[in-house]
Amino acid sequence: MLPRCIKAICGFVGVWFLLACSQSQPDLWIPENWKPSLEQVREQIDNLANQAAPASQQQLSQSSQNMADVADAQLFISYIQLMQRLDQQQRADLFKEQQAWLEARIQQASAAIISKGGSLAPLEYNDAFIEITEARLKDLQQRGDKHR
Amino acid sequence: MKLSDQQKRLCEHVINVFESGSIEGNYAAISIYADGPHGVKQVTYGRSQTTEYGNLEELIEMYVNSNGLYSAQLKPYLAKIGVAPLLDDATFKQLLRDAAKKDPLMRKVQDEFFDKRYFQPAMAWANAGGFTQPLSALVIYDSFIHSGSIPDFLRKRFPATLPVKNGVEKDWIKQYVDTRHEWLSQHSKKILQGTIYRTQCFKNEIARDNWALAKIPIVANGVNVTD
Repeated sequence: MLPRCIKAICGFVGVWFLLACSQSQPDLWIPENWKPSLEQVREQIDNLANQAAPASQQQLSQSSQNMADVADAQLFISYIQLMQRLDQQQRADLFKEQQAWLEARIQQASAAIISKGGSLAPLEYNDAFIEITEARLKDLQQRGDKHR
Repeated sequence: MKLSDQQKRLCEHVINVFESGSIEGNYAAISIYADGPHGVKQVTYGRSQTTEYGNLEELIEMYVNSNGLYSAQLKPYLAKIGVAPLLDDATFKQLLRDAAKKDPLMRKVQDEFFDKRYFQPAMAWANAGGFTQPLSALVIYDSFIHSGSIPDFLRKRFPATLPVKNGVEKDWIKQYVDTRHEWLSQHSKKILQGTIYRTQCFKNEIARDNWALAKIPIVANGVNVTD
């Protein structure tokens, strides 16, 4: 069973891809100067999780999940921004590449869980998820810059 | 391992503080984590957090069979838990919260459930290893709650042998706590380092020779646990 966010991404991109296929040239779907920023949100969550007074395990785990969700949203934005700069074939290639990468991310993050069955497990999963997602984010941002 | 009621309660209260920040624990706590099968997000619920694709069904079944205030409303969900995703079902989540906040029976059922799922396996492990001290029980119980067990990779990092194999109980516990503390405090992930208040608490109790858990309060993450 795929996570809902991944289903949503796949669904959205799928519809978008079909629409794009009907175009001979890639159109701009997102105004170039529209760049939602989640940096401050991430920093604030990170600061809360690492504050001087140690948080409870539930608070730490929730913070790590929030950071993972924000990183995933940032990746989604970069993916869409890159997609709109590609031609038809490149879009199809990136879609397949991203599908495979999403699957690999689940496997890698799951493999990072040492504390199976313990309350530390979500923290271990999310931390690996964030690291993997940040690396992909950097990659897609660099590719986006090249296609400007 | 023979614990008095007060010693067992102390263990539970210390763990409650570590997990939720409060001595009584948060029976109504609901979190959504992406740690379900194949990375799927799932509902995590209760004082010691059980999961939608794990043992939540068993907990709710125990509650439904106890004829609690919300048993009738929760009963239809038994067929769905672990089958259909419930993380976006606001009614279900509110029922879980309401039951924990308004029905003492849910709190009693959770105590029984988490005792069976975590405390008893931890004590079975302690008994098999030949441990007898209440502080040992606290350290081992905490490891089962936090890491799901006594991780093998940590056991390999220190030389002490189990009491059942003619080792010295206090040596084993001290070395395990030190090893666990070092693992957490030097972890490459900064957020994991934030959990060393658990092992620091145990190091403090070992330092003041509180093996019987008779010296109170026990300071757990800044909270005084007296009972």
